[in-house]
Amino acid sequence: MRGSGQHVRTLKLTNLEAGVEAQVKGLTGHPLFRNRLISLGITPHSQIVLVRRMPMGGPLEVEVRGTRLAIRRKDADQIWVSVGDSM
Amino acid sequence: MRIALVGNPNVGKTTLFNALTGAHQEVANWPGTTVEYVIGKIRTSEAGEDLELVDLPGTYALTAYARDERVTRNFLLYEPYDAVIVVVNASSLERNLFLALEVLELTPHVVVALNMVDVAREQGITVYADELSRRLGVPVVPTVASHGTGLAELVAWVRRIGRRRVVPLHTWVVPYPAELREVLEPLAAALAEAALAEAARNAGTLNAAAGAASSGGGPADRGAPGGRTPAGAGRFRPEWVALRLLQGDEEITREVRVVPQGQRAARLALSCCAQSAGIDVELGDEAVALDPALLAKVRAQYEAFELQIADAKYNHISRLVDECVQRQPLAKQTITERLDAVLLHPFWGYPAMAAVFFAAFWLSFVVSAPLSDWVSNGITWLGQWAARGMAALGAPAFLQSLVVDGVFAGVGAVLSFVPYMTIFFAIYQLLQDSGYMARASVLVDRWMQSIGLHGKGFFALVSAYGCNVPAMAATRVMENHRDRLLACLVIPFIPCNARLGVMAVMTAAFFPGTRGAFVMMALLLISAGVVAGASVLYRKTVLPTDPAPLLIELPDYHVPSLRNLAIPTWHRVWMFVSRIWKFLLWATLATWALTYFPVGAPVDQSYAARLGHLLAPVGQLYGFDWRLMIAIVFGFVAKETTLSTLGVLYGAGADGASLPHLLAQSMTPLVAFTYLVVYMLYIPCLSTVIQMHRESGSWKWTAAGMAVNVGVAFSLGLVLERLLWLFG
Repeated sequence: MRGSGQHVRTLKLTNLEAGVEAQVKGLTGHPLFRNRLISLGITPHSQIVLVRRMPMGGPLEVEVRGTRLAIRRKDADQIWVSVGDSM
Repeated sequence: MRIALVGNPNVGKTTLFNALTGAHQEVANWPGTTVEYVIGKIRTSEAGEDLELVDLPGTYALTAYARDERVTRNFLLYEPYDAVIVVVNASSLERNLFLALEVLELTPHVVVALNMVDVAREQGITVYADELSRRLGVPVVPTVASHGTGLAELVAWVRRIGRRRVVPLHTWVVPYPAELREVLEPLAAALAEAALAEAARNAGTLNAAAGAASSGGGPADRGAPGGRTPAGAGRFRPEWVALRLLQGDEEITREVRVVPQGQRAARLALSCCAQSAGIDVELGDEAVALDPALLAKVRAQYEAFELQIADAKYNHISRLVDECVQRQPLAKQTITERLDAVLLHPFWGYPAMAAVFFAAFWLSFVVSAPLSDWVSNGITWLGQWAARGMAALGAPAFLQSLVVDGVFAGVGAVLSFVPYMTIFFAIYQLLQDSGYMARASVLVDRWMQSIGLHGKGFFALVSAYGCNVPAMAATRVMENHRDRLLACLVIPFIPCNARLGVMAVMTAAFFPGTRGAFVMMALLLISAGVVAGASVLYRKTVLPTDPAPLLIELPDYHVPSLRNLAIPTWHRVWMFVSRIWKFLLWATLATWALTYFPVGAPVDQSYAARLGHLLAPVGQLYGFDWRLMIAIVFGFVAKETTLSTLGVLYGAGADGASLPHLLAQSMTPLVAFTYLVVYMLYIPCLSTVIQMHRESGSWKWTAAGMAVNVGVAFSLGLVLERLLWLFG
């Protein structure tokens, strides 16, 4: 356990640090919204990177499956991701 | 042959369409919607028949949730066509192939255009088209639409595919995992049986199976083309229907249930779902429909299936990409990354946006102004020539006046819009195509949201200072109908170029020097305040929803070709002129008649003046005389005419007295300020009303919006008048 030095943290996409690759764990929220996420490539197991945050609570820019998307923080709260960070 | 063109947004689909069809295009409106699609013809020098190409709205999937998505899906489901070209972006296949697989599940008559291979190569991405073609079982043609590369080969494949019977490489297109197959396969078998039974029943009147197979309409092995079989399971591939039923697609379920055998299949789908959800009742549809707890469980299961199906597709895509795409890591940043470091910078992004928009509006105002003047002067000049010609022929005076002040003035009113519209739409298209507009929406989304508007509506709102009409057209970038409606409802509160012009002249007359600048600022602040207030109130009352989620792609920046700017600009301008001219011409004629008749009467005894006197009691509340009321009424036709109407009514030019001078003599600055506020807000022009009806699709909303405009303008005017009177 200690040998791997890895801790897996699960957090909301909104709280992810910029530039860190994470894996999407689950989607919550309205079915139509989830459907839209799926068709844009945000599905469980997909790799996602937060590129930047817009100031003053503005949207987030993320990269997923080779494309960049903008998403509001409120909506990004519905996406759970996990990162394994080395301790 | 009829070919449908589908693809994700930002993959160069429209560039490909323009490159294939050139100028042979026409815009059609989807019945009952404001969604437009364009039909073009591919002409070839060969003896082969012409191909009709339909450019469908860009979409990410075929699930029928978003408006554009539904249009594309409905076309692929119910309209006749011979083949589909799926355009994919070679540099982001991982996401683009999702739609390609969805289309392949619906019909095997597909040719994939692997577009933007040049951009992909620059990013170190090589796609092996032959390998991809082998794996998908359909032709994959590398293209660079902007240079015309690969188009001949694409057309050749489309011709070949369109006429043949195509067998899909794999029945299920995507290798779904075993647990899904266990559910899907019996379902597809039941559906195929239902389709057969249906065909047999139809065979009583016509040999339907043969008819379907040899028909000239839709893909031959898709069952009968649109129109032949009005409904039923046999219309689509059973595998596709099975997939849709398992995801709880209501529309397809209805479609399937039309025939008894289909009902059995639909029940089977429901019980599969119930079983997976762990509901162990023997259920009919009624049981599920009646019990909300069961319904919720079934819904959750539909979604679980949906996720599993999507997951299987993306897994399949990962394998395809592993096998067919080679990626060389790039050391340096792409141009898009470098540009975004500035343009989306938390601080510099905003001044950069201000600069871009300033340049855009400066170009559309300043460059178009002299052009508009030339157009109206030219029309006036033509009108005078016509009058001289008629006088020489001895035509009666009223006819001369009709032609000059009625017909030519009306034509002038329509055409003077054209230069502004042309430049505005070209710039709009440039910002849109280059990829900047998506960024601007992201930058302002937070602010816009605080007054209940969507980030994508920002450009429309800002552009309304130029002209409200194209601003309303620009609200179409928003997918949600309510978001668009709200933007259209508040846009009229923003003074357009013409209103600003009148306001500037009157402000200068009453508040000379620096005071004028402050007054203009105050007016603009009032307008901004009314926009924000109205938007918040509309959201709180009649449109009680949050703005739709902002979930947009930030495409790579690119320089659009001149052709890609010119074609949509032309379509939009033409659409405007062809729609508006009748209304404007009639309105101008009515204005002319009201001021001209009764014949020979001085202007203050014309019908227009009588109308003005009727409205005078309302005007008295504010201190407006009948002439100002008339200017308000006639301003409805076109705001540009306000100054000339006032000029005629006040008798400007008669003794060398200028209109500003005459105006300044006839009322106090206080009354003038109130008038300016009312004038700025009261109602947009006729063209705006027509555009609003077009965008909202409803006379009810249009009328309600106008009523609110007038109400707000006059009540705010009254309040201001009292306040100013008290303090000033």
